[in-house]
Amino acid sequence: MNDGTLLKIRDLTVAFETEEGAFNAVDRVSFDLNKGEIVGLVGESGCGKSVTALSLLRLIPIPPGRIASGSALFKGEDLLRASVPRLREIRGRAISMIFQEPMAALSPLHRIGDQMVEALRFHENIPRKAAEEIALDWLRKVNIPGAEQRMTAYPFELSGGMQQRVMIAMALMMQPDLVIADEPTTALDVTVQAQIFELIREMRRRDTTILLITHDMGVVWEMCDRILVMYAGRLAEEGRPQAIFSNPLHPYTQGLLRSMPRLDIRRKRLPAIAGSVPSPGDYPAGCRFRDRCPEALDRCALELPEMAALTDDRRAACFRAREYLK
Amino acid sequence: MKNDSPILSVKDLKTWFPIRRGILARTVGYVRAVDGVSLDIDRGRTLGLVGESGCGKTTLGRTLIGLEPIRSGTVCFEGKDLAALDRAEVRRLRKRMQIIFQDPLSSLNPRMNVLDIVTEGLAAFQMLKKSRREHAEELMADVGLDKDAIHSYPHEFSGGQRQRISIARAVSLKPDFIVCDEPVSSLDVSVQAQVMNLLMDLKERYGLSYLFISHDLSVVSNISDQVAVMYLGKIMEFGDVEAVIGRPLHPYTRALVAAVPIPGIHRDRRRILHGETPSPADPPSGCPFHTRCPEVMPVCARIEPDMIRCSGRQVRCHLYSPDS
Ligand SMILES: Nc1ncnc2c1ncn2[C@@H]1O[C@H](COP(=O)(O)OP(=O)(O)OP(=O)(O)O)[C@@H](O)[C@H]1O
Ligand SMILES: Nc1ncnc2c1ncn2[C@@H]1O[C@H](COP(=O)(O)OP(=O)(O)OP(=O)(O)O)[C@@H](O)[C@H]1O
Ligand SMILES: [Mg+2]
Ligand SMILES: [Mg+2]
Repeated sequence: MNDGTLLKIRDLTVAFETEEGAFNAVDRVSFDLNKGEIVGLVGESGCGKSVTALSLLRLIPIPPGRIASGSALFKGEDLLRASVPRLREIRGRAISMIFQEPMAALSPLHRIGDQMVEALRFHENIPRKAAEEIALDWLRKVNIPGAEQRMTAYPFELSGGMQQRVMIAMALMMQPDLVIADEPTTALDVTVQAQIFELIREMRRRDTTILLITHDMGVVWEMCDRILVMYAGRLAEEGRPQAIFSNPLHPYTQGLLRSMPRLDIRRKRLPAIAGSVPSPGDYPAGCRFRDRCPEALDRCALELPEMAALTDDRRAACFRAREYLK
Repeated sequence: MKNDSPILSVKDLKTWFPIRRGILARTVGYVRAVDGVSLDIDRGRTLGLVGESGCGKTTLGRTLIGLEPIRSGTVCFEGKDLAALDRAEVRRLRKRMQIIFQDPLSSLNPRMNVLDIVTEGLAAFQMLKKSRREHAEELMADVGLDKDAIHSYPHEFSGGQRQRISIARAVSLKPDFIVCDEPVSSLDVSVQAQVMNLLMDLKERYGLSYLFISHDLSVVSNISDQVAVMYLGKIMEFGDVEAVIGRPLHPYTRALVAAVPIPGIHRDRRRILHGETPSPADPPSGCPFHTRCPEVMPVCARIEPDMIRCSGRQVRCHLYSPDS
């Protein structure tokens, strides 16, 4: 079982020091990613999903950011301690990243074909012509209409969803071992999304591992082998989609599932979770979800619940989780 | 009388982008991003706009508020043709029509802090009723952000938080009409619910009208009064949300509805539309959807169907004949 682990993250803590003070955007997070697995990371806006992902490749701005503790063993090598040249080798080749905002990854000044060719030739010694072929092939795979013409387009000439697909093509074309995909399909409609997911599944069949960050529960349901739920910088729950959707163990996950807009039910108002995410500077003592939790106990104000195993493949960080387990 | 007339009325609108080649930048063709759109947006109502990536949603939204040049057709705001306005009138309208951009990162000035970003418009139009700080704090609270964060810069926020900053900026001027371009697509469901509730509250309170662009049918069906379904620059089906999403007629709309994942329902139940989206620079003859339509007939490749009224909505498809 153990040899199947590709990435082992332990106790990852990422701190930011800003004018308003210091806070941990990610707080002692531990999880594993296994070979050929698609793992979903979900949670409220600002809970630390992107920071978790970015810090694995040390792409957070340092300062104000700082990796305060932890390790991330990728095939036995600690990414958090790797040298900068070594990291540059890993990035884009063994591990590639699909960013949340396409324009964070694409240069506005260069044609997309050139950007793709550059990226290919940075990691592999291949002739320009061959690189162009590969790039074009991938633009077709992500279903960019008129791909040949689009090779010479600048990013601003593409629609939002096309920019996103170009970035996906760039991340996948290197055939990496691990793809970290941060909200890869937010701008894509269901049909294009389904095509992208087919590509991702195809990569998984070739043993690629995917960490899929998303807020879209439909996507998680469709795609993932396992789900990690995050709240206020910490993991709240882990399990298989079927289990989480039918029997969520953390009250936060329960609220999340209730507030989903659904096509089959139209409502005047969506049942949002009451209150808002506390800002990282002033997390309450004890459980960070306590103020918004309809089920909180006195104990929740005093102690911070840790992730604990409830069954073989379920973990939750809630004192009452066992009561909810069916 | 005035309240019954649509706030925005669009007739046969076209927005094309030239494709230029070579050192002389000769125009060798056009991307027909918006290609003959007609629709009305009623005052105080929300029109949802859905369709595949690249079908022209953003371009249509931008053209409606004057951010892209009109190639042909007209856009009338409260009955006044936008193309015929003088400078001062345009400036006044600017205040009344806002947009929430699809990509918050590139639409927020990285060198301005949030306080300046969300109150810039108020200051420019001399609409400050209290200090900029108080306005900013109020707006932050409206979109569910921490008011202490007003001195932070855009890069210090998460993607979803940035999206809410751009929403705060758009609502700051209390406009009459807002183009919301994928305003909740980067938000998780619970914040998404808050933001959608906020947009619905503002609409009730101020009688706002929205063009709500989203690729997410579940979101659109929850927030919209009416829905327009776009494909390759054209509207294929248009009408009340109950009709268009609840009882879709057009094969394209039906495909979109069938493809929506519903958690808990078995995954294989979904039907996905296949085939490549044609390029808007070289649209197919006849019905633009005929190359992918599961119900294609010989006539579809030859003759483009007209928009007709059928079963309580408008639809552009040879399968249907107009209500008599
Ligand atoms: N460069 C930075 N400086 C200061 N604070 C930051 C910085 N980057 C992120 N943060 C803070 O860290 C927290 C976590 O942010 P992160 O981007 O990981 O959220 P997220 O879960 O990805 O949210 P979203 O779903 O909105 O993208 C947020 O409170 C954010 O404000
Ligand atoms: N400034 C521009 N110059 C050239 N072509 C453009 C420009 N802006 C948009 N286009 C093209 O117009 C078409 C429609 O783009 P638009 O951004 O309106 O699509 P969209 O429906 O909003 O897609 P998405 O859901 O991906 O955001 C696309 O083919 C796009 O490449
Ligand atoms: Mg993020
Ligand atoms: Mg768009």
